Amino acid sequence: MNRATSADPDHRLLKLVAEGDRSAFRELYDATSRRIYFYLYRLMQDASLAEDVQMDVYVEVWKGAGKFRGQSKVTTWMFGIARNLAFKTLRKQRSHANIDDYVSLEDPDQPDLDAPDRQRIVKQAMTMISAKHREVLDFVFFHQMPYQEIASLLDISVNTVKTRVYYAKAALLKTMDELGVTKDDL
Amino acid sequence: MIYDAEALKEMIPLYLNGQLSDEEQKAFAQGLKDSPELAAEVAEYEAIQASYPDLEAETPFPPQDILFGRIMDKIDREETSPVRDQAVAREVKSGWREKLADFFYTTFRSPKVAWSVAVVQVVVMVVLLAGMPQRGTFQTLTAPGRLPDGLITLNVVFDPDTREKDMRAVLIDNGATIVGGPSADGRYIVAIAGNRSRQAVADAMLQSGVVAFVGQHY
Repeated sequence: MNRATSADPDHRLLKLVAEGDRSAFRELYDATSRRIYFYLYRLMQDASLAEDVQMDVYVEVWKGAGKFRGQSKVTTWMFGIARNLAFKTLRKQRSHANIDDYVSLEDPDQPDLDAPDRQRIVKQAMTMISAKHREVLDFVFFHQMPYQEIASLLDISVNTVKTRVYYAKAALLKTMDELGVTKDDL
Repeated sequence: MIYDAEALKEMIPLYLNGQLSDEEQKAFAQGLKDSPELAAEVAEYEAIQASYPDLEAETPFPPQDILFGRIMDKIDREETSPVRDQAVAREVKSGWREKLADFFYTTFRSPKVAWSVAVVQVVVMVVLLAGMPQRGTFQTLTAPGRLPDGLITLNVVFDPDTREKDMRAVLIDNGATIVGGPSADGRYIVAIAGNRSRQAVADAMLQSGVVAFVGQHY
């Protein structure tokens, strides 16, 4: 399905980038870098790694702009590059760990409950669920991507996206429960 | 359209993001009134959604200008890597030797060229192997080794449909022995002992009815 639209302003920028236009590249960077960095930081849970990967993402965007076929939104294509590079880096960093099960190093058995702020605990739990669950919640609630776009990016069906969102929420509630907040507290 | 409870639950994120159609929006609003369970699920997702502004605020975004500068440095470094430098340096040379060297450099630098050459080599090998005759097809018409003195040697071609026993009978009748052949065109070298003339033996063979040709062998 060709979802490229001339309405996507990033598409115009990317065409210019493909021609070597550095100011267009800067414009594209300004329009997308916060989202890309947030995604990488949330996924990798490490500012330094996220920064390194973000650099690589934009180098790849510069080099690969001419290969973009317009079959998705430019940002979806960029998230795809970011995702591949991030997981590649995480695999190197944690070669003995299953990336899908990767969670932050915070210990759920030792929650800081001195300030029983449920929002703080939601945020804490959000860093503790698996990368796969964190990622899909981010795509839905932060990046506000439609299910179809997420499905295209993750190369899964729309139904799988829906299921993953559901299980991500369930995992989050379970983690919150372990941190001392039940869903009734929400 | 009627939406069941599961369908409405799947819509929650879209509802919170304002991505429902008008029809879905109405159905969802009705579902919220009718189902406390749906309302509770919405509250759970709302809590997740509400955490994002804080999560974003707490994200240690690097200084974007500096990061962009580093990205461009990296791009520039890669674009002026030694390989590219060599290519650029070659562009300013104008002599025919430099041009020839540049041609080979640019032509054979690409792995596609190497793969193409390899493919052509494989094709040539296959064609040559396929075109080779079967083992034994080519037989020399030279007698294998030196024959004893006093033997007459002739080139003999039998009719194509001659049976082996008829060939053997002609040879025995004429005191002949095959010492070479057959060649690709069916020629045998036969040696005949005794004091008969070459012509007499040739005539006798031709009269047998199974020999198509008899000729002098040198």
